Amino acid sequence: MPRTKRCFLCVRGLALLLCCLGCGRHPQPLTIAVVPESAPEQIWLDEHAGTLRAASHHGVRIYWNAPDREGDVQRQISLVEQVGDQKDAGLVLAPAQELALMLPVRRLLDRHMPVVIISSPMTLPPRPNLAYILNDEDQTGAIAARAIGSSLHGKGSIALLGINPFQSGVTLRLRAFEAYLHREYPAIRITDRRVASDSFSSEQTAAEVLAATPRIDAALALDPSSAIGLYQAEQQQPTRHRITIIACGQDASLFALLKSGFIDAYIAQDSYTMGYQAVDAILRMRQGLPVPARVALGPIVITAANMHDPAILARIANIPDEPL
Amino acid sequence: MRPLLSVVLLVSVFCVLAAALTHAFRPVELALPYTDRFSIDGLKGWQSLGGSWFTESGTVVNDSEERGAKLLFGADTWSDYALSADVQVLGADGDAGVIVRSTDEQLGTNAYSGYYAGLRTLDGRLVLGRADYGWLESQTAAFPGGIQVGHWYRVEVVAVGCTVSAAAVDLASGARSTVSMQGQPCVQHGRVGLRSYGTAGRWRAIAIKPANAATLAALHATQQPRETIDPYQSWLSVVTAAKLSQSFPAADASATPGTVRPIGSLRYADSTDRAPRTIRGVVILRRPMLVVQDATGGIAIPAQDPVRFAPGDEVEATGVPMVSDFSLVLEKATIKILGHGNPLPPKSVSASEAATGVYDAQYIELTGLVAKNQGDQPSRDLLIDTGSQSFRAVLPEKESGRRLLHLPRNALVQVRGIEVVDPHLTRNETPFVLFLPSFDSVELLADPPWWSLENMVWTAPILLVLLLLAQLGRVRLRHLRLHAAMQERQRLGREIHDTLAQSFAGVGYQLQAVRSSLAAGSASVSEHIDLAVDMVRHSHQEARRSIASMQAELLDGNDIACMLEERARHMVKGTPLRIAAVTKGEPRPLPPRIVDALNRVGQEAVANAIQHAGTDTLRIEVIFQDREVLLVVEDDGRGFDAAANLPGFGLLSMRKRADAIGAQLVLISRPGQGTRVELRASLRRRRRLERFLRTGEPHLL
Repeated sequence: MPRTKRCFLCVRGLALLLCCLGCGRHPQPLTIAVVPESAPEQIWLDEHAGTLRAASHHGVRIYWNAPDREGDVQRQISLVEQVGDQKDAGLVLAPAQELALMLPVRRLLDRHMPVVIISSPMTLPPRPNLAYILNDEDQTGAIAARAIGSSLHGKGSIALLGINPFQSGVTLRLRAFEAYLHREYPAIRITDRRVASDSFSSEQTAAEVLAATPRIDAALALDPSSAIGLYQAEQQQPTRHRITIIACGQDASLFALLKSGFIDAYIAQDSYTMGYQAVDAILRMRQGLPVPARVALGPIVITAANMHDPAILARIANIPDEPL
Repeated sequence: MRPLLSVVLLVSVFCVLAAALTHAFRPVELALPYTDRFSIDGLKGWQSLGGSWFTESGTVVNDSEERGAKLLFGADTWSDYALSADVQVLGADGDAGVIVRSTDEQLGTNAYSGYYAGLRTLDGRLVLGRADYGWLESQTAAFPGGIQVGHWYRVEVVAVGCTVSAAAVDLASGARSTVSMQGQPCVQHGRVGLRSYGTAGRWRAIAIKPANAATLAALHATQQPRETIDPYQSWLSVVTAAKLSQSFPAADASATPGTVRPIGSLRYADSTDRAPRTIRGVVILRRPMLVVQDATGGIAIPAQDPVRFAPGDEVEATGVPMVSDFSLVLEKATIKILGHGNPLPPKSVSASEAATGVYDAQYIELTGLVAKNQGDQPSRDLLIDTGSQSFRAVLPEKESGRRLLHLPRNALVQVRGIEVVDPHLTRNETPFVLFLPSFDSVELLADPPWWSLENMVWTAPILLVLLLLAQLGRVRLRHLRLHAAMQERQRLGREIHDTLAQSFAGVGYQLQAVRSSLAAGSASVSEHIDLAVDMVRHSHQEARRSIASMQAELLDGNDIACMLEERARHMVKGTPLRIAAVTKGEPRPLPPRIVDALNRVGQEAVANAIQHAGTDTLRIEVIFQDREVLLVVEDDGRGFDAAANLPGFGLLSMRKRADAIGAQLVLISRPGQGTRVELRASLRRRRRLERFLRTGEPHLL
């Protein structure tokens, strides 16, 4: 038998063997990684429910993991890097700190992994494998300003708590709030501004605000920690008059504060829809279909009037409307 | 078919070998039943993912209130089994319990795939659910009397097929509650684990045994009817009950009066002011001293009972702040626990930043190379080098049931701990010491590079031997090739000798016989016959020379000199030209290629001298030196300008032959001063090779 023919036969034999070995394996479903800012917060549990709903519709698997505590940027970076090592089908990320996460995300993008950033934007421009599904911060700021303005009848002094210059979402929210307030309620003055602090120091911050400006009429808590801090400070040193408090965020504590009557309303992100749309966008990217570069979802306003509405609860309490 | 069979056979052998190796090196399977009372070996065999775990009096404790800390044990292949453990929940806002059939575990709140059964103090229920990088709560059951903090409960979980059931029993009152779940697809096998969420916990008397339907039925024997849960009402009740009553500490009339100061501000306080100050912060270290950190810095609080506190506790302390060197200490402090929370995440800093003391008493994270692992055994003390800085990472005594891994030198590690710059602790050997909260605060990032000095010392001789073997193989290969060529040449030589040379000899004899038989007077015919005889003789000699050149080691220096002399004499027969041929040095056999080159170059030089030099004397010398052989052909004829561009192929041919054997050809001639041709050929490598070929001993190379 000629030598070439023998070699050809050998190659065919090996190919047949490998084929037989490969045929015995079942194809694994695609896995999409979801890495929110932190694991236990209600906002991210709702996002998780949204991603699971989308995953069950599309027949994909969700890998969900996050830092145990908000602000643990290093842990979130390591999770993002791990997603790259796992070669997942895509990443849905809610960045805890946009500057620190920029390089890890860019590395994933360079490896052609589809990435959807949710909740708070990053400075990376959209590209075919990068899209944003964000909270509409302009609307959030305007709603907050309108609520405070109408509550104070267009006159009074307010304090801002929870300013975080390192998070674009909070900064955009703040600017929208200021612009709307200045335009619609010029007689309302912002008398105090405080940067964001951790959940423990927020009480100290709030106490300082209340002590420095005893005649404050309203407060806007730009994150849940600030609202909780106000509550704790109020418990320590009760103010002589009730102030209007509007909070931003999505946390079980805010629900409890609303139920107790301490805050007047809170404005939550629609993280359930964000999660659902993000998974959908990842799969569209993988199929080469067009995806909107930037989507802004309207917030959910929870007040004493609608807090028991099952439709609202289904969106903010991680309770599915149908079995998964 | 034979090639295909060969391939199949080869692959089969490979598969058998791979299977044998896999079997030989498989991890030792943990057998059931298994019990662990944490008495002698501590946490040997257990793997922690989060939390702060240690053994204490036959129990295992996680004193961190981290969400979802896990401690895992067992084999991934464990399938149907029953797990029993006594559990204490140590906090009022969380749950603690056990995991079964756990696989694919990672650090993270619900980062595993498996089932969890736990006791939740928040609503006093036994919970059972499925975790798969997320939490899907399946069943809960109210426990009679609620779940009490610090109370022992026995939790039993049975997993058979796709049914998982759990029961909890109050060991004091005997009250019992049971939950069960089933459904497909389910997790079929996996390890066991201990887990707590948002609270510290304590476990003891871990027992795992194989289970079947009867085991499951026995657990179900006292099962209570399931409750129908309204998810909205459940969520509302949990949120309102927990968040308002427990998460937010109410005002405390006994709170220390005075303004709470940021810890960082105490560094800049008036050093003469001995007034007490109040700070608030989170506990980040308990041993060897209590350290509390807030957003602005950290402070050590000596003389405190570490048992009172857990990492993550939020405390308020009042005492006299003292600044010594870089360390901030709160002396004579009284402390009140305000609440419980998660441990703070570490700040990632460089060793250079840490060495400035800015991060004293703060939880930081550093990367470096292990410079020294103290002692022969796995120890509690690592010396870590980061290039410009070094520091010690120390695991405080009694902090863990395990010791640090025995990390090899130059391994790249990441360490998380509390920086302390107190000279009493650093002993002025390093700028700071890092106290590690637990044994898993050191993470191995990369093993040492293979090019360490020790490895190089071992590798170098091996490489040397391999190189020698490679060289030996190369020489042997050349030997075989040369031997084959020589065999072929000898065969050709014999062929020519047996055919062409013999024919020439025969023709010569025949011509001589013809000439002898010719009658007198036929002078012209005789002359032609003589000429023909000469030509035959010449051709015969050429044939012999060719034969000789094809035979290895047939010729030496004497042969070459004699051959050239004979040829020259033949050419100048009947002329007065004097020819002198000498051999100097110690003649020895030469390789065929060199013999051939010397012969050809010599013939050309002799022919040129006779034809063009008009000389009276011709001198031929073959000189043997230690490492080379030199052929000289010299005349005292008319000479020529050696630098001129000479026509003809003779000189060009000589140069080519010299180049072919790596020899040097020197032509010295000036008009009227004769001509000297030198061919200098090196014998160095060839001599060694010849010895090797003769003896076959590589050491001669």
